[in-house]
Amino acid sequence: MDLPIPSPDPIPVPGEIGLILFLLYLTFFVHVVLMNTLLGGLVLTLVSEVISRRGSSPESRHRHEHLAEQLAHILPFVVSLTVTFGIAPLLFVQGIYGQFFYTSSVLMAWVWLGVLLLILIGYYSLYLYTRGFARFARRRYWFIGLSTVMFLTVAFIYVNNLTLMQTPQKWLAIYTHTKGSGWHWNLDEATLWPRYLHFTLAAVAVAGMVVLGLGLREKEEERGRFMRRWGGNWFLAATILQIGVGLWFYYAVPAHLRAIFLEQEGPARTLFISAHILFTLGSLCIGLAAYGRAGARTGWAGIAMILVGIAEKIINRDQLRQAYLRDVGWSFEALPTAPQHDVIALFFIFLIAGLGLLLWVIYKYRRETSSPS
Amino acid sequence: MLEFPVWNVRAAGGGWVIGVIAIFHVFVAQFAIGSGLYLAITETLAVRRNDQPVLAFLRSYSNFIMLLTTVFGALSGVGIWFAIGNVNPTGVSALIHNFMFFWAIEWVVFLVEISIAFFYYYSWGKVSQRFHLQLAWLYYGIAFLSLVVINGILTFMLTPGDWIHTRNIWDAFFNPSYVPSVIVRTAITCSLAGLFSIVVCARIKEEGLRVRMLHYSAKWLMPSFFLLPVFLYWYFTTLPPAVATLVQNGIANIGAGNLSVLTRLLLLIMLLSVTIYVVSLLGPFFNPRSFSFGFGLAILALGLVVTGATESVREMLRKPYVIYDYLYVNGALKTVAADSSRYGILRQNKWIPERSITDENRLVVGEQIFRVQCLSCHTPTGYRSMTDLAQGWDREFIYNRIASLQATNLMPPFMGDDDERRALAEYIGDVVGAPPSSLTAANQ
Repeated sequence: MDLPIPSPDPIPVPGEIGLILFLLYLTFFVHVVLMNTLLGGLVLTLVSEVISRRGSSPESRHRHEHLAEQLAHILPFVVSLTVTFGIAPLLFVQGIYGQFFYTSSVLMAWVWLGVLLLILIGYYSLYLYTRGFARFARRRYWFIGLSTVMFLTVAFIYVNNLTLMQTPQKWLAIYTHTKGSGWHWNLDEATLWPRYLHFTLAAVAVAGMVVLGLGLREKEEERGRFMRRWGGNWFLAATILQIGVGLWFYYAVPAHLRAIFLEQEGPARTLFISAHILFTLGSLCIGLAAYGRAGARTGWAGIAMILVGIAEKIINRDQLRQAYLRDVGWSFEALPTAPQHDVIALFFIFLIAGLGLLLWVIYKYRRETSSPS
Repeated sequence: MLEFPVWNVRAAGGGWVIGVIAIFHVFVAQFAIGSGLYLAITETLAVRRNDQPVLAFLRSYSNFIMLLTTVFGALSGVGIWFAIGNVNPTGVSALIHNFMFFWAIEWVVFLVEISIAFFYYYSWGKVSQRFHLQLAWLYYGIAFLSLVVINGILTFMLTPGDWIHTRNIWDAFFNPSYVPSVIVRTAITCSLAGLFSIVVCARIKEEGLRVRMLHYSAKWLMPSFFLLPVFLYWYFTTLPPAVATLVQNGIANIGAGNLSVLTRLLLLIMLLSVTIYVVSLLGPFFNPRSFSFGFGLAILALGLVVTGATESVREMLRKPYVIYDYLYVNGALKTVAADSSRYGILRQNKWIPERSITDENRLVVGEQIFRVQCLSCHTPTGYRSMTDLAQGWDREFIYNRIASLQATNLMPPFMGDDDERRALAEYIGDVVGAPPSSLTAANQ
């Protein structure tokens, strides 16, 4: 029997596929960096929260209390921006992979919808943690703990759906078995756990990098040194673990699909190899900056290399998805397109004007808050 | 739904999942916009009069607004998107494909809106009054813009207008009910700003300020009380003729005592709206001193019911379509459904493993056909159930009735062939406990 892949939508895709992929990568990159900061940031805040009351020395307790507070102040904004920057890539994904994405979402409908409830709880819980910093001092780690668990679960649900979407071979059996109840987890997927660990470890690494970055900007010498060291350690530890998890993930992907990364010549291989070179060099720079063997400039260069590497990996991720889908007879050529160039132009006008407006607000805000008047 | 699997939401039905999220979202989202205007105007007045107590109140009120709209408002909006995608993937796919870059514009607007909301709240007392006021007005301008953009997509579903023939995106966006709908919704946002503010103001401890703010906030409900009926009438004149007839018949039948669900909802909306306005007039407007927080919550709850009823009416008017004249509620394109019965459901649907109907699998296939054809609005035994609607029908009657679904003007045509119609009739007959004999007899 043929695979039950829905036909492409009869309404054509309203833009060039290349343009939509570009916007998808661009917005998803921002989303991933924010999401990593959030997810890893929650873990690091939780750790600092625990050390701030159980730590061995008063000095360490004090430092971690300060770090937890500093992170907690940023995180609610990061949630908001993560959610908002998640909307755009989800829109573009639905525009070009809708046949696959909607199907897997329906098959796990309740679980998928649960994402919103979990984020809602995680978000308000985070606010309770940050706003009630002094008020319920002794109980506050429950809130940050709850928030962390919620967002880690959200990430897990995403990995479930996005792996299910690219394996239509499984769909009919799931639908027949669940009778469309919408209660399904893609747990028999071989790449599920390594993929999840790969992304969550990356989140911890990026959050470590953010702490390092905050440390590089910190004016008070002692505190700056602590943050660089602490953040750098988390980054390095997560990155070293990533070697194992990455290999697990790589070998969990069917051989003929992962061939695009090393065996077959092409853009996927170029990106894959250069990303790893960047990760290696970037980690080296971050390590040097964390341990005070090199200046802030080296630290920032390391961060920049890691970010470029992440961007390359994001494209790799989509290339792997395309490999999965080509395997079931899909191609972009089958999608009708009819670009609405006037609306696209309008979108870019809005984008530029909107970002310009925000820059003006930020500029004005900084000027007014920095000069005591 | 011929292309996608069907989410089987058991007793409640998928419509309720969307409905519950949508009602809360629309309520909060419209308040978010109205509150922008409330903050901007009230802060402007307070600054002009150097009214410090009011400014202090606005500061704490804007905290509530920010926490409600940037978290719950934003997430429930995404929630509707997720829920509709699960219940009617074909519908969402159509809206995404048609309006992808309008959605993208809406996203930009939203990004700017929440960013400015944060700046507005966190800059209280830190920046000049002039800049803070600029932020307030910017927030409202952007929030209103989000309504202007989303309204094109929302109204398209009921009044796609010339798009049906031209397939031109601008025909779709600036559709017949676009302008009146923007105006109706704007009026509603102001009312909701007043309604929420009444509740929040009722909590102010200092009596003088509480009385002043209650009286002031109640004023926010008044303009739309007089203007909304006019705007709504205008809105109804832009609806497709069949829909307008539906509303007119509903109203005409009130005299005859024949109340359809639609009519009941319309009456409910009118009665509750009047109640809200009268209570706000008699309470916070004329007697702010004795107005309590509990009372405020009660009229806010009425507001939620009105929002829910209004959204239900909008959904109901669209029946049997999800995009009028283009896509049916069960995810079948009008053009496909039109001659679908020639091919049959089994041959077109990719999700039913059975390829033909036998005596053994008839009930199983019947259930599958029910999912494809009916489940978007009906459940076997729960909401709008077969046990309720087809109780007492025999199988032959059900079989005949299926052929004339479309004649009700509320349901899509049956997409299956004759065998599939029998299978569906047998399944429904089984659900409602109809005696098996009649169908067996008809079969022989």
